[in-house]
Amino acid sequence: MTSTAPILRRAGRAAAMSRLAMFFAIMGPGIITQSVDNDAGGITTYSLAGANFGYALLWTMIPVTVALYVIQEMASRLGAVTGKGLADLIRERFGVRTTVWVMLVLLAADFGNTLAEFSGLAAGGEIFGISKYLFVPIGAITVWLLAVKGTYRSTERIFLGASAFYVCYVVSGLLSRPDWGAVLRASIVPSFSFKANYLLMFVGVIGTTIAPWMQFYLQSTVVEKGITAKDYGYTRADVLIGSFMTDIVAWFIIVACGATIFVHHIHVENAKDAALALVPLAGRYAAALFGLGLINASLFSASVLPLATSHYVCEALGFEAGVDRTARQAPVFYSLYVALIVGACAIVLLPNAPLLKILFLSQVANGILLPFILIFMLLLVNQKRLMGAYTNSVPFNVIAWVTTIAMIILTLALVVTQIFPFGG
Amino acid sequence: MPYLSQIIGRAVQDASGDAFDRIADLVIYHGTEKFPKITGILLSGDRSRVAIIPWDAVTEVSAAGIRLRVERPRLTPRPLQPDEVLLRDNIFDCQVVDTDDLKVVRVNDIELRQVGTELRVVAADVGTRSLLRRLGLEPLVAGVFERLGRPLPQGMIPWNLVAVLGGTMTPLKLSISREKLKDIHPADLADLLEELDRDERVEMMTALGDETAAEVLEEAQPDVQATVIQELPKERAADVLEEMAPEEAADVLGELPEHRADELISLMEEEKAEEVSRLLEYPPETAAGKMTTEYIALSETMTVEEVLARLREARPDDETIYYLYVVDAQERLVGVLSIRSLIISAPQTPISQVMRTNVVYVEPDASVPDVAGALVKYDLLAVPVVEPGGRLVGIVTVDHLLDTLLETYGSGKLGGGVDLLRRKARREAAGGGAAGPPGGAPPPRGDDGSQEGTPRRGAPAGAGGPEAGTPHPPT
Repeated sequence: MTSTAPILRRAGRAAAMSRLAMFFAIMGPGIITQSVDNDAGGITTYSLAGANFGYALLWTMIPVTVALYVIQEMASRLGAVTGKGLADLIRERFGVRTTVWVMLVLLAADFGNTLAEFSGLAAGGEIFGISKYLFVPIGAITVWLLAVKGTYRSTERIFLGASAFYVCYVVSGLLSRPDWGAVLRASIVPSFSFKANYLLMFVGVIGTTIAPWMQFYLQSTVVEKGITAKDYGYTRADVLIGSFMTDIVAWFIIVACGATIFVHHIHVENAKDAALALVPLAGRYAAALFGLGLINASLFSASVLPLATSHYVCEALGFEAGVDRTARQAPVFYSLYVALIVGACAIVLLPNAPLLKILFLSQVANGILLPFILIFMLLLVNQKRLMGAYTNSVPFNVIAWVTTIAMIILTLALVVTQIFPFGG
Repeated sequence: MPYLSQIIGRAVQDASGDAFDRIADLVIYHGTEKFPKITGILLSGDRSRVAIIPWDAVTEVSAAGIRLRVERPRLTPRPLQPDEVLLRDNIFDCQVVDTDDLKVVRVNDIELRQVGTELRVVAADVGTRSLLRRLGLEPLVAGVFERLGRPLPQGMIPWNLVAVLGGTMTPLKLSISREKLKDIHPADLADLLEELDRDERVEMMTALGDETAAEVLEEAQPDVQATVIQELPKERAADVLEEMAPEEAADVLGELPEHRADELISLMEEEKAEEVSRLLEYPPETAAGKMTTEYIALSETMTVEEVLARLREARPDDETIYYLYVVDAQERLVGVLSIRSLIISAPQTPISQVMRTNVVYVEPDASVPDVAGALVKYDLLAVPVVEPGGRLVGIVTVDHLLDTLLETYGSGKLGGGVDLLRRKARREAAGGGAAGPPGGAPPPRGDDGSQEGTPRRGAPAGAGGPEAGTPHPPT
């Protein structure tokens, strides 16, 4: 009955499968989340950190990477073990009241992020001399079309390809001939300052690297991919690679900006100034390169974030959600989505809106709101009834709690220094 | 005391009037009752959450709380029984299936009704009103809306229409869920399946019988199919795969990691396993990858009368009866017989005289668009797949191909909501919503107008060796 031909075909199938496996091994949830994380807010914040403080904030990259990995690993473990999203878990374990508060926090943070994405779009457009009054509405319509007409996977592929842009920063950082001794010293030896601007930058850097939405996003992605506690080991590696990738890019952005902008004492006012960091690589095309990168990152995150946020809120509160439903079937979902996008666009389109400042401050807001999410994640991941044998180990708990408490202290210090500025 | 959210936290007094604790949770017996009785109380002071105070001990239920008939030291707490469910822990804030509207909903509150000292669950509240109540905003917001002349609607689902899937599985709970899910069309169950969480999916599939589970899985999206099969216990997964049409089972197995697929195939009954692994060997995006091996093949030596007798005996599915393929002794396709010529010909006529010998077919490695082209061009409902040597190996039906084309060209969104409304209208027309007779629920598929039960696929008639399923050996 069997001839030789099917056996050959079988071999073909196996090869295809292993290639597929390779693909997934490379593009896991952790790496994808991290790519969305390097958005307009991220680029801007790291650029400003390098431009305004030189290498002074480089040392934060090591502890931030550790914290990022630990927190992301918790989120993906929660997803793999329970098979549920973070918003669902918070609702089921802590009830309605808590859920509403957490969702308000998430909405606030993500409104800030959406604002940042559209600011990034406007700033990117300005580099090419396109008026934001034209560019931002076009961007908003593109985002809407991608969300409603396209599938998430196709959107992801388009933008992920384009995010190879970040390699530019690595090259530019190498070409900018920084004082490597100083860079390495600054990366290892911590320095700290209680000056208001430094604290603001510190919280911003952490907030943009470990954003509240990422935990929701990563956990949902893990659940959607059907990853279970059994095959969780490789997800852990994926999260680790993702965390490193993000922070290596961040590190190079700071180095590049420190070696080009900071040493020349240039005060960064707009996106064109920030683009100077790419001059060692791209010369007079630096601004264009920076502009394209900013627009790409902004569009990608803007087409993912508001949609995801509306999903989480609706699912947690029991409203119908999804672009496959009509506005009549899912009124709350569409209202939230439209409100996020239209609200963000409206603010960005205000005359003389300080785009770079909006970009940066939204990331500070992420940092301030992060502990609220972390506390609930920690409570959940330590519930024996929920996680069984997969509760947090002691080192993980220590690192995550230290991060949470550090963020609270930093936020308090930030508030105090804003009210009683000394130094400055 | 109409709502669970208002009862949680109320005081519990013993016979001496000492308010010694508060209500943390209520227990129901998850049995056959339509509106289950509360059978016990869990107290806030019981940190380990194991000692249930039996409801028999309650003498008075009032706005102030619960009064027990005995004094505190003489209480006789008992552990939670296997068929009991904690309302707050397992149902409150969790997802349940609304079997009437065919939706997955989140329970915001639970409505209770008190008759004497007896307390019963009557409805799950999923409306915005209940959400506001939990937040303490109900009077305020509801008042505003009332003044605007648009009072907030209630979102009550009568408890007999609620299927609970969360919590720990016991056979009894599953049989209750099965009872509530059994009138729902597999295609609708597949939609519900997609909205559920991983564990709830498994629970739903466990609640359904193998045959229904297989039909549901056939209708589900490929990624859902793969996760469900991965999560089910191995033996059960193999049982469900056996019940599926072989090409559908092969599609699911093709999505799994190879070692897992091999393991499941080895657990399937031999005949099915062979068929499925043969299908798996074909590249998925070809005619052979999309074909089914369930078709009717007749020997060219048969007469019209014999064929009719065979068909009556085999009772083939509605999709396979349209075309009767005729093969020679070497299983080579020699002709196709229409139902029409079968009916109008004299009983003793050999079929080789009335069959059409000029048959449209595709080769196993034909691409999917080519197969679709052949179906469209020649207005066929199915096209045979023939190996270069002439041997008939399967057929590609238009509806299986349509599913694939819809997946590829992204119209997965097509008709979700509309379809559901139409089905619901049918259910209601069939007699009183979800309480209607089982036969009234699913819309008929195909147009053969057969009266024998619901026209569903995947269940070849006759146990053991469904003759319609394999090419007919020459007699």
